[in-house]
Amino acid sequence: MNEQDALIYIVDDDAAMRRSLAYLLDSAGWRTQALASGREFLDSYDGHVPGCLVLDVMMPLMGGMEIQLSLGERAIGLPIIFLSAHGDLPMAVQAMKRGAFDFLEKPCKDHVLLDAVGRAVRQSIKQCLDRQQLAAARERLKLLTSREREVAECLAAGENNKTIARRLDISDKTVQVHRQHAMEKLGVHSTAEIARLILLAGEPPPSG
Amino acid sequence: MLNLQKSIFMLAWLVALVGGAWATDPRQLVRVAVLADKGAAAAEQEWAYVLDWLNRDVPGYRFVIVALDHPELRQAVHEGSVDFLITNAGNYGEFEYSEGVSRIATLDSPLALSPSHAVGSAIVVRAESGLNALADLKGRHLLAASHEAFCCYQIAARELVLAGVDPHKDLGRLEYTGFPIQSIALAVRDGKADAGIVKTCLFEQMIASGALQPGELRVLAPQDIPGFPCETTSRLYPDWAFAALKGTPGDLSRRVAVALLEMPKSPDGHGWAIPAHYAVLDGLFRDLKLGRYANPQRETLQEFMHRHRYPLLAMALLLFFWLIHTIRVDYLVMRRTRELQRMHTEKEHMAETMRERQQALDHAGRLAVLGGMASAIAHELKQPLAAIENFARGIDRRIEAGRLDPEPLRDGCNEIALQSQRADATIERIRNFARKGGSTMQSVNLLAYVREAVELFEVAHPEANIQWLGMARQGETRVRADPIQIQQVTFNLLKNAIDAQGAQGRAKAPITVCLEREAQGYRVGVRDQGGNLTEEQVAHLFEPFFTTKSDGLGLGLALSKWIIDAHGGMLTLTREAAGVCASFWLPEEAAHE
Repeated sequence: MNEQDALIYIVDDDAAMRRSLAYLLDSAGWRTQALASGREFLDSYDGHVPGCLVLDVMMPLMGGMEIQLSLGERAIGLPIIFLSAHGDLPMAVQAMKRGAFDFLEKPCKDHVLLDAVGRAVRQSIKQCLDRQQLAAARERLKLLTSREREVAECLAAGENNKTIARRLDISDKTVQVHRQHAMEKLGVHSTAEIARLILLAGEPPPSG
Repeated sequence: MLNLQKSIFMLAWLVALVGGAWATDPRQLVRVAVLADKGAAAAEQEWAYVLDWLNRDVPGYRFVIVALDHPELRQAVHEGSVDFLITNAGNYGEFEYSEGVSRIATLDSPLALSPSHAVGSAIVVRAESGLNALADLKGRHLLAASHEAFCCYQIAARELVLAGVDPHKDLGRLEYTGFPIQSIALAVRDGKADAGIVKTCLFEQMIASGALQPGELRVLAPQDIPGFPCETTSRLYPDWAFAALKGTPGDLSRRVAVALLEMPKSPDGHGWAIPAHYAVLDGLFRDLKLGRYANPQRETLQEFMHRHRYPLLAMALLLFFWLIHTIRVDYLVMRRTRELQRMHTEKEHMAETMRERQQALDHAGRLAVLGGMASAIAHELKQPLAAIENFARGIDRRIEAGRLDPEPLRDGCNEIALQSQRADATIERIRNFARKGGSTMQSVNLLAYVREAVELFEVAHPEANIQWLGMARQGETRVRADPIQIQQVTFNLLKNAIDAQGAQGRAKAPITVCLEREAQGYRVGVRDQGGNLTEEQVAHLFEPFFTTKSDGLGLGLALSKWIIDAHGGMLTLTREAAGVCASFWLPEEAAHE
């Protein structure tokens, strides 16, 4: 996954503005999709391609802020770069609080916009990769038996074999076997790697 | 007035008397009026002989005497209530002229020289007085019977006038004593006056009867008239006349005339003769300005004024009040004129001030509206400029990266040109809008410009929810207008609508815009839901600097109204349930102009 795959969405009600932004980003080598309204964007966004959203704040019917809220409700983590013609500071603060990637005043210098877009895309790609690793880690953790999972979690918490054996009321030897199986199933070679995977997967899946 | 009553009473009495006689006497009644300046009884007695003769000599008629004084006689003759009259020459002359009476006989007196030369006036003075000529009477006290008396005033007065003595001005005093005239002579003798006018021969008769002693009086300036037995100061005039009125039947007149001429002399020697020639009277009337020569301003003015003093007083009062009224009206008119002139000047001054203020207001209003449109204008200009920059940077980056495909590069250049044109159009529009001076009236399609204004407004106010109503049906909506100003008004109305709704927290409520054909023109309406205004607010809305907004200048509606008025249209505000409908009407353009 790299920057060539990213798609830059441009949403602006002014056709000329829309076309000019698309032209500039295209000139800088980005793939673009220009849309006239937030509704069009929400209908066409598939949620898997990395990229960012360049969004005009002031638009009839559905303004930039409303689109941001709508994306939040749908748990779409696409970075948003706001473009505002009015330099409205309170609006900027509010947008940033809600997790906007950047808030630029129109007309902004091309390199400022392109820089923001670049950073946003990189973040987007990283988010995608993280999501992929998480999914992979959770898949692998599902392979463990419940006893193996208990042992792995105790190892991730930094406990040694003896402590684990006492807590689980099993022998040291049995702890050793479960640890060996878990490392094989997870494809890791150290206790530290087990700990990283478990942290990556976050919440332990419901037992059973 | 008294005379009138008296004569009416008398006539009534006569009618009663005659009416009573009528039943028993088949003869036709003939009334003979007699001038009775010495009293009715004396007159009836004096003329009884003549009447007896007529009653005897003219069968079938019954002649009665009607004794009248001067005013009564004048009235009777004028009314024609008598058939004949017997009067002195002077009086007859007057009636001949004024009432058309005609003489049928003249009295033949024993003392007369002839019927034509029968009577005159003698002015008597005391014998020892130094008066010798008529001119000597100037400044003296003169007695006469009355101003109407013929032989005892008028005849003598003529001689005075001819001698250069005006009886009314030159005498010390002219006193009328009335009859009998004997008293005049006696008064002069007794020193009560300097001179007196008496009938000729009276003086001689009084001496003969012993009433006067010879040598006590003498006749002033006596004329030498051979054959005339008495001394006279004046020339001689005809004797009394018997005359028929205009309406008296000619046959009767002829029979009376014949009877009179045939009448034997009376015991005192009077008879009737062929009517004398009365032309000599004409000279008298002329000199005394009597009868047809009457000059009321002179002789009768005093009399006239006295007689009509009440109506004259009333007239004078009326005249006085009229004069006061006229002066007052003149004064009021003058004052009102001055007031009007002052008001006119003030009004002109005010109109001038208003014009100046209107111009200033117009300009200020444009600037204010311009300020209100600033965000829209900025947006309008920023968009194409930002787009141009983006295209230019994009082209630059393509060249930098060596991506020289001509097609996208040309696209970028075309876009730059297009956006430049867009910015230029915007600037032109703003310049037209802000320009001070006369409007540029032209034939425009109202709908197109209203639509453009609404679009401009939507750009400036993306939150506005504007709904069109009844526009699709409109075809060509041709009016003569300044399109920029019409857009300004439309923009103002929309701005008011959204401000009103915003104040109610309903900025996104629909604002309805409609364009309808109405009465030889078109009405553009903007209906908001911005809540109710009070009647008072609506009444003040068009006044400059009245505003219900916290941040408004209060110029929008005043300016809009001014613009629409200048277009010959009407701007109206109507209160509605949910808000206000503001609309303007413009007359449609005449087909060929």
